[in-house]
Amino acid sequence: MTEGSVRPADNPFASRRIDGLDFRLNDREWKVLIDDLEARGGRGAVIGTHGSGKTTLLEGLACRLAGNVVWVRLNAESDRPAVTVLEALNNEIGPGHTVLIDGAEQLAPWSWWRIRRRLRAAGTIVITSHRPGRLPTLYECATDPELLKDLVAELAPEVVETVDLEALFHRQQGNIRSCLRELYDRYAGTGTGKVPEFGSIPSACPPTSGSCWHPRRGQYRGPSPRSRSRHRGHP
Amino acid sequence: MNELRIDVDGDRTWFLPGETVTGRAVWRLEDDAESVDLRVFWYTSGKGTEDVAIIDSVHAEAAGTAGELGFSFPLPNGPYSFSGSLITLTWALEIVALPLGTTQRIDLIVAPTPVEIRLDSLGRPPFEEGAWTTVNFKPE
Repeated sequence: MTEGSVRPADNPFASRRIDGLDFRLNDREWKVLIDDLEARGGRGAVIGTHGSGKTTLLEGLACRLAGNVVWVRLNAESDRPAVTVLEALNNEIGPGHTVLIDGAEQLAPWSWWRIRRRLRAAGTIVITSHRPGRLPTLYECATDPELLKDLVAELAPEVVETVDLEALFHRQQGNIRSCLRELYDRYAGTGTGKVPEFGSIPSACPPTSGSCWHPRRGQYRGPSPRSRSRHRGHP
Repeated sequence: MNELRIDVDGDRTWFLPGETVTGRAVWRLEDDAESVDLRVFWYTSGKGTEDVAIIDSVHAEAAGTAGELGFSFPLPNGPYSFSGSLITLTWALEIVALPLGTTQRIDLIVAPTPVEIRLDSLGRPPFEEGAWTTVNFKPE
C-alpha cells in the first residue's frame, strides 16, 4: 500500500463485502428450493466446486428455514472434522432443529455414518459437498462469467468496464471467490482504486506454472500426490 | 424514531495507547429495551477472515425507552489502529439496544499519532515483477 492507496477496510472486494453478497435466486426460486427440500424429507445437499457459492447458498437458506439452526463449518484446515460436528451437536437434536454442515466432503465415510445416525431426528439437514452422494442433491452450484460480472457490478461497478472479467474467470477456473480475491489485490495494488489490466500487476499464481509456491500461504497450490491421497482418505 | 448516541468527552476520536476513554451513551427509543450494552473493541477488515476483540463493556439492565450510561474504558497498550495491504485494524465504540438490535458505532484512532499507522509508509522494497518464486512440481 502506498500513500493515498485504498485502505483494506475500504476495498470493495474486502471479505466483509464479499460475504454480504446474496446468492443469486429470486423469491420464487428460493420458495421452489425450500419446497424441494421439504419434498426430499428435509434432507438435501448443495453440490459444487470450490468458489461456486455453496456456502453463500447455505447462508441464504439458513435465513429462510424455520427451526433452531445449528451451523457447522468445516474446511480444509479442520483438524478433526467429525469431532467438530459432534461437538456442535452436543444438545439433543430433534424435529425442531435445522442442521447445516458446510464442507461435508471433509468427513470420512464412517464419520458421516455416525453423524447421520446422530441426526436421525433432525427436522432438516442440508450439507454442502464437492461431490453428490451423501444426501439427495438439492442444488448444483455452477458459475459463469456473467455471474462474475453481476457480482462485480454490485461490489464495484467501475471495475466491470476496466477489467477483462471473462479472462479472469477462465484463469481462475470458474472459482468466483478466487476471482474476487484477485480483484482485491489488484484494487489494493494500484494506489488509485482503479484496477489495471492483466499483466500489469503480478498475479497470485502465474498461469504458466503447473504448480507454484504461494509466498503468503507458503504452500503448494495445484495437484500433488499428497492432495490425491487426502481425497482417498475423505471421499 | 430511535436515537442512540455516544458522546466521548471532549469529542475526541484519537487516543494514545493506555489512555482512558470516557463519556456517556444516550438512548431514546420508541420501544422498551431490555438492556443496553456499550463496548469498546477492535476489529479487522480486508482480505480474509475478520477478527474482533471486545476489550471492555458496560451494561444497563431494564433500559426502557430512554436513559444514559456513563463509561470509562482504560485502553490497552495495543494493538494500534493501522492499515496494511491485507487488513485494516479499527478501534470503535458501539452501543447496542437489545432485543431491538439497534446499534450505533463511532470509530476511534488508538495510536501514537492522530492518524492510523500505514504500514507501507514505514518503508518496503518495491514489488518487482518475477519476485514470486516458481518451483517445478515433480510427481513422486
